[in-house]
Amino acid sequence: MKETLSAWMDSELSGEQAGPLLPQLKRDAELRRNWDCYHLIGDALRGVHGPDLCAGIRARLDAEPTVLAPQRRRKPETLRWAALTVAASAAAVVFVGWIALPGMQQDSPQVAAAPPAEVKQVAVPAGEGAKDYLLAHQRYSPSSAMQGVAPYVRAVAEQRGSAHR
Amino acid sequence: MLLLALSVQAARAEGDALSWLQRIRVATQTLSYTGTFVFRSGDQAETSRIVHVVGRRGIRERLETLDGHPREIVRNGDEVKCYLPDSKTIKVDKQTDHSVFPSLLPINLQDIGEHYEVSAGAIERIAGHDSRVIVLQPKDKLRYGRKLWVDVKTGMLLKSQTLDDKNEPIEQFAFTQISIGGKIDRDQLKPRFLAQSRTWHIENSGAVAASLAVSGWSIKPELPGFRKMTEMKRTQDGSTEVGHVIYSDGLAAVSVFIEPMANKTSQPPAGLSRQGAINIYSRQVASHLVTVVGEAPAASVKTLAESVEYHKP
Repeated sequence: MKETLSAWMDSELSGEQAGPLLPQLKRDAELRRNWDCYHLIGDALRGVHGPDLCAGIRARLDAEPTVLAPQRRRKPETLRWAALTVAASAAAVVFVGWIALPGMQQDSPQVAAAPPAEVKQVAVPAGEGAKDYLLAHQRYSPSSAMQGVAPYVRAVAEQRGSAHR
Repeated sequence: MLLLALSVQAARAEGDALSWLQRIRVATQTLSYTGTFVFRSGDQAETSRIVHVVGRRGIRERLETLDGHPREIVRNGDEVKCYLPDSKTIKVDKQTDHSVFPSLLPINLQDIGEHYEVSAGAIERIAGHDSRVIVLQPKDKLRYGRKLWVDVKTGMLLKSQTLDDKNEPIEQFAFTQISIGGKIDRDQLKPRFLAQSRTWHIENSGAVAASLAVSGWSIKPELPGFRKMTEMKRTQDGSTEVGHVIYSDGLAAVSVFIEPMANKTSQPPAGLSRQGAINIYSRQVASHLVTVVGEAPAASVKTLAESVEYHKP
């Protein structure tokens, strides 16, 4: 299907062959994403958006932390998605950067020289597995000498929702 | 001469600020009080009620959470019980070996002065009490800063914040109401949820002094200011043996737990995790789970965890 789409964009399809593609595009979100992506690549190749587009992607990548999150037992979806987003946007910039470079070397040599995003380690919520350790630790913390049993509340604290930051 | 006078003055001011910390400790050991406090960690907040009675049989305390699922912590001298009615579980932590380590590590004023810049600030009102603000600014990035609000009259710690390297609070305890002294009904110390069920699952844990080096473990962290305070073996439900070593800089403590993987049913996430000001780092070494837990920045906790090694004895 992707080849057909690509051929259509290059005006290599007859009206008969292209006919069913339009309603299919309307239905299939995945196909629409491919359509957008191919146009983006095409534009980049022709230098239509060229340097500006790359700068935009680069700026957004710089702003994103590199997620080195360890595996989680519960609710792994959010983290997995975060990791995928970073991986996907990194892949996209490498792809576009690579194919766009030959024609754009004079315009934006900085594509290749972009500094790596700062590597940050993201801590996930501690969860239930750490509660016994927290309880055992609390007794020996000098802060317990200042606050009595109050800091123990950490050892029984509830992790509500995923609104952790 | 002027410089000398200034530095003497500064030293005296710091000494005064440190003496406030001493007052806090004395207050906790000698005052009885009841109150309500809010514990804020990240973007979550929980309100709890606390009763703290100093009597002839030592300190007795009860803490009950008022938000979310009911949970209760009762301390009776050296025994701490957590009642978790939802899972019908009582977690009991009892100190048995008093000869070797104290039940509480003292805050160590000399160590604190070495690693934190301590200063006394303005007077602010907390829960209706005039309180002196004490700021502990860490001298390096290995520890968190603290801001404390101390009741001018009694020395009671009414509010405390743990601050990250940008001076942003990452955790906060604050009384919204407190009454200090006076008569406190002993009934308030009794566990409220105990009668709700006859089938509590009781998880006992305790500790005895032990040397981990004998079993082949070595911990040599590059963590200036954190000293090894005590070393023990914990028992969970009388079976699992967990090595437990505690490091402290006089104010913050970091614990190293070493436990055989085979016995773990639930464990913290691998790598870095956190809960408010507590950072946790977990990794596997020689089919054991090494978990470091402490109220210190992630880098400090990780450094300690990475320094744990096993060599067959």
